[in-house]
Amino acid sequence: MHSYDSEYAIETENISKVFRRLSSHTTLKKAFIDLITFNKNKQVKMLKFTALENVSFKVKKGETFGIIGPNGAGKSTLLKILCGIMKPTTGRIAVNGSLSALLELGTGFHPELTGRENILINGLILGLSKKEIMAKYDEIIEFSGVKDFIDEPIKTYSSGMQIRLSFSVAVNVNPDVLVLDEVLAVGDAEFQAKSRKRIEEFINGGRTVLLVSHDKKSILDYCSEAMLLYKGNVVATGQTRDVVEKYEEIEQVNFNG
Amino acid sequence: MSHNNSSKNSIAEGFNILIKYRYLIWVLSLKELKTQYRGSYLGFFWSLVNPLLLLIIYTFLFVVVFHNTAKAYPVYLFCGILPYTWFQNSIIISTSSISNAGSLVSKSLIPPEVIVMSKIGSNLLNYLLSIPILILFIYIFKLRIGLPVIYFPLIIAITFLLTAGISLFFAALNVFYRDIQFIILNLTTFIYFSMPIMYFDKQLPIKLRHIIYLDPIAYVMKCFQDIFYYNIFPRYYYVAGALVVSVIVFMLGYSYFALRKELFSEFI
Repeated sequence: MHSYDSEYAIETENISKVFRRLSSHTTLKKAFIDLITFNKNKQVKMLKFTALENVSFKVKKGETFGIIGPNGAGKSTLLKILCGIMKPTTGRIAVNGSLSALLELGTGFHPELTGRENILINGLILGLSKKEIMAKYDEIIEFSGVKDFIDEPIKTYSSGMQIRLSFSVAVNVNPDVLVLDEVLAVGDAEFQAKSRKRIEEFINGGRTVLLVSHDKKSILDYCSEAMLLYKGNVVATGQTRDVVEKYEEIEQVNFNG
Repeated sequence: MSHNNSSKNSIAEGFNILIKYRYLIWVLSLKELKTQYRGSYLGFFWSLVNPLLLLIIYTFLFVVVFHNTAKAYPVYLFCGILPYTWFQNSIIISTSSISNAGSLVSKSLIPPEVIVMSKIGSNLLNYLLSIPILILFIYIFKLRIGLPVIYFPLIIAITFLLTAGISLFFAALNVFYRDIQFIILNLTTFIYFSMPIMYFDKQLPIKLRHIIYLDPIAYVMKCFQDIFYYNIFPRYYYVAGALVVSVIVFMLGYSYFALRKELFSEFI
């Protein structure tokens, strides 16, 4: 399916995304009034919002690429488009190889099911095969540190335990390209150290990683190259240090103005 | 992997998804079944209580009040009620399944088809688990199960296609028009009373009978009754008719779903 040069894991060209929504409080009554009156000032309006504008970038194979930007910059929208969850309004995307995404921890978790049952469901949703999950059950349970409660419904878990369990499943995904959305810092200090080590294994394992964050430190720590998104536009691309500096400039301007 | 090529052959793609994600569909169907009654004391038994209660009400109405003299009337009733419950519940639950799926649609890479299929799957499991009760009733009323039962898997497959087509269509539509879920409840109840499930064909005026059999689910119900109540081979024109209509309904329903599914994450 991919006729692209194999040097790049991800290539995007001029991605734009415009959201269209009816104005809130749209009712049938207002729509009806609009229909029968010739008033130019319609009550039901189509609102447009440009979340991304002409975003182009390339990620080399094996690279850890960071996307940074303040809240509302369009980071999550871009990720969803890259994963194929959302369709861009215009533009092209090519991903070379298999792709997994950790956009959220514990997708598909059900409070009434046991830890063990939830590991299976969550793992399958993340794209692991039945075989892989079966082979790694013990490791996942061990890593999560909730071994004693693994056959209890997870509604009895503390929220910290639930997050640790979901993280332990998530770190087992094994794609060519991994998309990570600010799921790095979870759990207490001890668990964070453990998970940090695991993420470094990920990154050093020759895999392409796309890391999205508004946290400058994790981008600086892990990424060789980065891109700064601001109000849907690419403001800077290149060496992580330069991009982060640019981000700090924008923050300063916003803070003072 | 390129996302922006429009799916040319959506039906083939749909079957690929069904095959690729069959284990996840199975696990999610089981999850539905398990979580439905978890915490209640009677558990799965509740799945049988509802049709049993209906059975008592209708038997009272039709045997005691209306003096219906058909033999083994409860068996006749059960043959229709059980598969119709599968059909009806699948459609009702599927319709709101995508709009209520939350992050399963907006933050995971699984195809949304999987969600709808698991709802139909869990209701199918519910139905299959109630078959022993039906068989028990058949023997209590001194009827027999014969060779026609070999048609059972085929009729199940036809019902599945029909249910899937309708469910996928309404699940997609409900993402954009949330009113659908309220219409469906009334619509499926109306269809239920319009078909010979609790009454017999011959009780319908002849003109009306032709109109009723424009409804594909009526053919399917007929086949279930032939197999379990009349103990005869389903008439081939019923089977063939139901098959053709189900395939068409599935193709139309799924085509609409496939056309709209890229927009789901924006609207839920």
